Amino acid sequence: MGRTNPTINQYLIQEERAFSQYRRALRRSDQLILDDLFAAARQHSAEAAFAAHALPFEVALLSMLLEEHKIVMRLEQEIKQIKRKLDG
Amino acid sequence: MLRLVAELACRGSLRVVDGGNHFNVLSLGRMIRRKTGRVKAVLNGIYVSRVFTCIQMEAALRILLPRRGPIVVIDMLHTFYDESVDGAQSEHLLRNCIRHLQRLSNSLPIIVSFSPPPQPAMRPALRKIMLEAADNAWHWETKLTARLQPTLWE
Amino acid sequence: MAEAYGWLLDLFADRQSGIVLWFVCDAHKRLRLRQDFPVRFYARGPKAALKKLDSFLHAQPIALKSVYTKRRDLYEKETQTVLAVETQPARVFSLVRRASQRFPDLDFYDADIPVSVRHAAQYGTFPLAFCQVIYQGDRIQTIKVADSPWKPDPTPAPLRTLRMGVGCDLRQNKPKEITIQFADKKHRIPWDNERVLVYHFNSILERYDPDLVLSSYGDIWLIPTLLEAAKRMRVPLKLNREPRRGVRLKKENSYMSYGRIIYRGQQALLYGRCHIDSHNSMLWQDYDLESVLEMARATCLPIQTAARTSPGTGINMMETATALRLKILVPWQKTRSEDEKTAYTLMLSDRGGLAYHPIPGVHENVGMVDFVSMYPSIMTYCNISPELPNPEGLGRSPYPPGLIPQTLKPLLEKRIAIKQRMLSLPRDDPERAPLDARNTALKMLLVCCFGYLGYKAAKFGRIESHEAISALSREALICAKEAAEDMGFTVLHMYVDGLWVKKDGCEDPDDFVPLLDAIAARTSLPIALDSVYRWVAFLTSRQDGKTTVPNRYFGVKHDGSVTVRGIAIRTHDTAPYIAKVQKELLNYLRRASDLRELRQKIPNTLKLILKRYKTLRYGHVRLADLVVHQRMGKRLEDYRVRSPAAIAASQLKEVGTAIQMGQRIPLVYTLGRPGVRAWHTQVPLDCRSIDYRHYSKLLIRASAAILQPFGVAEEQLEAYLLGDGVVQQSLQI
Repeated sequence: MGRTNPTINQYLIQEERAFSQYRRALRRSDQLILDDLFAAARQHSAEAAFAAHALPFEVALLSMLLEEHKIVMRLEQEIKQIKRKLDG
Repeated sequence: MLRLVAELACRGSLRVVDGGNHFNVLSLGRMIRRKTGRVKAVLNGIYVSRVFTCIQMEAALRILLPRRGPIVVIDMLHTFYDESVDGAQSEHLLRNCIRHLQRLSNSLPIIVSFSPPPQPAMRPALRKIMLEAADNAWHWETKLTARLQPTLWE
Repeated sequence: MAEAYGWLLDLFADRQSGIVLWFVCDAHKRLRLRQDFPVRFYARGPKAALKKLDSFLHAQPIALKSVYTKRRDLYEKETQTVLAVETQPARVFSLVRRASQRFPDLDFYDADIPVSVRHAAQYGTFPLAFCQVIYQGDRIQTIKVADSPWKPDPTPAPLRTLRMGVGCDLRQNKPKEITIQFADKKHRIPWDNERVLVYHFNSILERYDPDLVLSSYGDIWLIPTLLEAAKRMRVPLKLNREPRRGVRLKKENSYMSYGRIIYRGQQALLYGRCHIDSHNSMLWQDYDLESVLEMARATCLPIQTAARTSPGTGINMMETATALRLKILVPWQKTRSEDEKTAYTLMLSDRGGLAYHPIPGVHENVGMVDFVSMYPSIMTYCNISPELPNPEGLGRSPYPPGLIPQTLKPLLEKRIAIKQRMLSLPRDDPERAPLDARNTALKMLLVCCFGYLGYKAAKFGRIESHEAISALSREALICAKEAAEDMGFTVLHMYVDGLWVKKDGCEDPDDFVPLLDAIAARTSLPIALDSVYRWVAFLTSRQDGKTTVPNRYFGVKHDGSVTVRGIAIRTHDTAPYIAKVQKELLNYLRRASDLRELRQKIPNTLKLILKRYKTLRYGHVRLADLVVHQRMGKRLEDYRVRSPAAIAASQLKEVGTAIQMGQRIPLVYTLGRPGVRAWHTQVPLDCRSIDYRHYSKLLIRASAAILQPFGVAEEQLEAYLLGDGVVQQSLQI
C-alpha cells in the first residue's frame, strides 16, 4: 500500500522524455543546454515534492529559472569585481 | 483507462476504484491540462478508492452508493490473482463483487477493466465470471501490466 | 506444590492440550512444565449465520466451547456481538480454516496468533523472562513474571550454547566432517560412517544438553542431512529436548514485497531447545546472538522464530499483543480499506519523505543533525493510530494514546535510553557490544513500523495514518531548515530525517546545541547531533555529472571515523578487490584534517590507484576477490533478456543446483560470450578467461567516485591510468 504516484524524480524523467522529439530536432550544442535545464529542475525535486502542485512541470520551469538567475547573479558579481579592478 | 477517466472527468464527476495501483494522478493531471486549465477543479470531481487486496475490493464495492457519477473500476482482477488468497475464496469474493456492480448498474453506467493474469493459465474461472457478467466487452491488444510500487521515500 | 525460579526458554502448544514451557533455572537445572491454556477466536456476522457456524463447529471432532459475547473492533466506538469459540491452542487454526471455508462471508478474529504472543498478553511473559512458577507434578498452578522486556540491561540467563558447522564453504566443497564446539571443547566427527556419526552426535548432545544450537548451514543442509542419515540408520536423532517430537522442517519460499523478491530458506526448528542458523537468520549476518534475543524479548516470538522472521512480522506481533491486552479484536484477513478521497487529495497525500540534492563539492566542519527515530517518534508523540483522527500539525494530541503509540512507546524509550547509555561509555567499554547489539534489533523494529502501518496485509494498518506521518515528517524537516537558517546556518543537505548544516565558527558539538534546542522547540520532536564532520564530499550523479545525488557522499568525522554512502563499498554486488581499493583510498584520505590537506593528498592517491590498477590488469588478484553477487529478481523462465545473475543461475541449474527467486548468485565476468561464469565448484572456470578489462573499468569507476569532488573526472582518471601515470595537462587538481 502507500505509493501509486511516481516520485517527483520519476515524473521529471517522464517529462524530459515527453520532449525527446523536440530535443532530437535541436542542434547538438542546443541539446546539451536543454539537458542542463532539466538537470536544474532535478536539483530542486524535493522542493517540488513539498509544493505538491497539480502540474509539477510548472514548478520545474520555475526551478530552471531559479538556477538560471543564480548564474546571472554570479556573473553580475564577477563583472562588478572586474570593473572595480580595471578602475582601481 | 486513465485517458478515459480524464475524458469523463472533464464532463462531470465520477468514481474510480483502482485495483492495480495504476491511478497516477500526475499523468492524469497532464491529460486534463490538455483539455482544460481547471485541473484542480476537475481533479476534485474524481472520487477515488485504491484497493490492495481482493477483500478490500469486495468491501469497497459493497459500500459504494449510486451517486457522484459513473463508476470506473481499473484492473479489477489484479488482486484476485494474489496467491496468498486461495482460489475458492478468490472466486467467491469476485462473485460478491459482481453482485454489487449489478446492483449499482441499475442506476449508473459502470466500466470495468481487467488485464490477463501474471501467468497465462492462472485461475481461468475469474476471467470467465467477468465476461459472463458484462453487457459488453472490448479487448485491447496491448497488455496493461501492473506497475511495481515506487519506494517509500522520494 | 513446588516453587521454582527461572528464565523462560521456550513455549509451544502441546499436541493434545495446553502448552509446554521450558525454563532455565540455573547453570545446571532445566525444568519442563505444562500449563492449561485454552484460547479463543471470534466470528462476526449476521445472527443467523453465526448460529449455523455454532452448530457446524460443535459437530467437528474437536473439543470446544462457544458463547456469544461483546468485543471491541478497533475502528468502531461501540462493542460488537461476536461468537467466541474456546479450544486448545494446537486446534485453533485448523478450526478457523474449516469454518472460513464453510462460511466465507463471516469475519474471523484472533485466529492466527502465535501461542507465545497470547501467553505474553495474558501473563506478561516473553522469551528469557525471569519467572516464578508454582507447580504440582508437571502442571503450572501460577506463573508470575518479575521482569520486563524493556529493561535496558537484562540479567543474562545462564544459557548453554553449542556451535556446529561443516568446516568448509558448502558452495565450493563437499564436507568431510562436522565440527562441534561447546565452551572450550572442540569435536570433529568424520562423515565417512553414518552410524558412527549419528551415535557420536547424539552422545555429544546428551553430554552438553545445550539450550541454544548455533549452526552454519544447519537449516538448509546440516540438520536435514543428519536427519536423513539417522533415518537410514534407524536411530533417532536427539536434537530436540522435547520427548516424542520430531524436528520441524519448514519449507523454503520466495515472495514479493515492495517490488523486490524476498527469499526465505528452509528452516529446521526444535522443541525445548533453540536452533539458529547463521546463514539463514534475519539478524545474524550483521549482528550477533544478543540481537536475536532482544528481538525475541521485544516481539514475544520464540527465539528461533524471532531469528528468522522479518521485523514487519515482529511489529505485527507487538501490535497484536497490545490489542489482546486491551481486549480489541485482532482481524484475521480483513484489513482496513482506504477512505474514498478526491484525486486532488490523493495527489497531496501520496508523497514520501523529502530527499534534497546536496550542494556539490567538499565542505568543512559540517554538523549532521537528525531527528531521533523520526517516524516512530512522530507516531508516538503526535499520537498517530488507525482508530484516531489524524493530527493537523506537530504538537500534542487531544486524544488518549492510541494502539500504535501504546505499542511503540516502550520500544522507542528503550532505544533512546540505550543510545544515551552508550554515549556515556568509553569506546573500549565491554558493556558497549551487547548494548549495541540490542540497539540494532530495536532499530530494525522501529525502522519498519512506519512502513508496516501502510502495508496491505497489516492487521492494524491504515494508509491515511501512514500518509499523515509522511506529511508531518516533511513539515518537521522544513521547520528544522527554517530554524537553522534563522540562526545563520547554511543548509548543505536535507534527507528525510536529517540535515547537514554549517556555520562559520561552529566546529565543536557544543556549538550546535542552540540549534538543537530551537528545532526541538519548533517541532516537539527529539533531535540530536549525530556528528560533526571534519569534511564531507557530496558526489554528483554518474549520468549527468552536474546534479548531486541525495545519498552519495563520503566524509570523515572529527573522531576520525569514515562515513560512506552510495558508492561501491556500500553496494552489495561489488567485487571484494574493488571494495578494498575504495576503502584503502578513503583510509588514506581520512588523515587529512581540512580541505587544504585533502588536496595535497590527491597526487599520492592517484599513485595508489595506479598501483592497484596494475595489479588487477596483470592478473595478480585472487579470483575469490573478483566474485560479484547479484540478485535474481525474477524466476529464471521469466527473463526475456538475461541479466548476469540469470546467466549464472542457468549455469548452476545445469549442474543440478536449485536456484530460487531472490537469491544472490555468485559470479565472475569472463571474456567473450556469455560474459559471465557462476562461481561454484562444479562450474568449470578457466582463469585465463577472466575479463580483466571489465574489472578494470569497474575499478576506475569506483576510484573516480572518490576523486570526483576534487575535480578529477572519470575520463581523466582513465587517461592517467592508461598512460601509465603520466599526468595530463587537463588533469588539474
